[in-house]
Amino acid sequence: MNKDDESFDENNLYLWGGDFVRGDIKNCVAVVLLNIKFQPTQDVALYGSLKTENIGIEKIVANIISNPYIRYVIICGEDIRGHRSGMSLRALYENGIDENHRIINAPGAIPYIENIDIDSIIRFQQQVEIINLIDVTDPVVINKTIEEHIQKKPGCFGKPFIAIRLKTVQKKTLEDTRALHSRIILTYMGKIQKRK
Amino acid sequence: MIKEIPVIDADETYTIQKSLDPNGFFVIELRNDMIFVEYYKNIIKNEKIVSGDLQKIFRGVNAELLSNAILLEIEELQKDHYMYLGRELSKAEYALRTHTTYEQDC
Repeated sequence: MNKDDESFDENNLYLWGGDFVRGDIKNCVAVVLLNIKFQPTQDVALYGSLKTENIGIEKIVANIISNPYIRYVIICGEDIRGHRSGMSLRALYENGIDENHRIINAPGAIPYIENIDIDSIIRFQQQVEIINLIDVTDPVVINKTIEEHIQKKPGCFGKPFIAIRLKTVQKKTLEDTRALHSRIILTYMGKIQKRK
Repeated sequence: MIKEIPVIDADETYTIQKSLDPNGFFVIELRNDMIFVEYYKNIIKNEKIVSGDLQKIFRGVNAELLSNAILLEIEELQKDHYMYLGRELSKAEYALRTHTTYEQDC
């Protein structure tokens, strides 16, 4: 086990969630799907769909940099009309964001990055290489590209990067009478009983 | 005197124009056998909602309990937004129980 493995806590992986399927966490490829139903033949680190050019992209960046084994992000399928999320993700990788948090030269309608900081974006740019298969929908071509990149075996980038931290908070007590109806039932005799 | 009770046919005349709640929006998804509800405050630039600022994440398996938690934690939503959340959380719980997919109605 090397130093990077020791600092790799699976509980901190992909904290923000999203519409994706997890695979082999030590695989170097992640696949971003645009308007396409596709299941890779290889056990990639993760694959899933991207819809929006703001929060959708933020989730992809945050989740990918939480796993330093991911070194290639393959974007495939037909870009989302109006949102242009695939091209906007590529623009984020190539250009970053401006002082207004807008992705520079992104073609999407509202490509704003608001929930992750500039360090997360820089880390994303350094950790991965974007493989552009936008407008490619042929599963043979996509699988071949995945296979080619897995064979490169680039290794782990380093320590995971936590872009967003979640903390469990103290619960508020339920004393609110608005929820009373959910705590009682009416019997067939018309009597009010406490719900068990 | 005989009491007269109005009966309301909930037909198309009750269609409400959907509008964005100025107090924010929610993203609901299923993962790890749980329902996750993300609450975002609107981010407005040039008089347009361009994204959301993530404020809280609710998680659970029960639509009723999630509804209660949201009601207690976020008190300023529009009335139709609460009703929308109730519908969506019921759908999400059904999908969770039946192991089917859930897609949020936007």
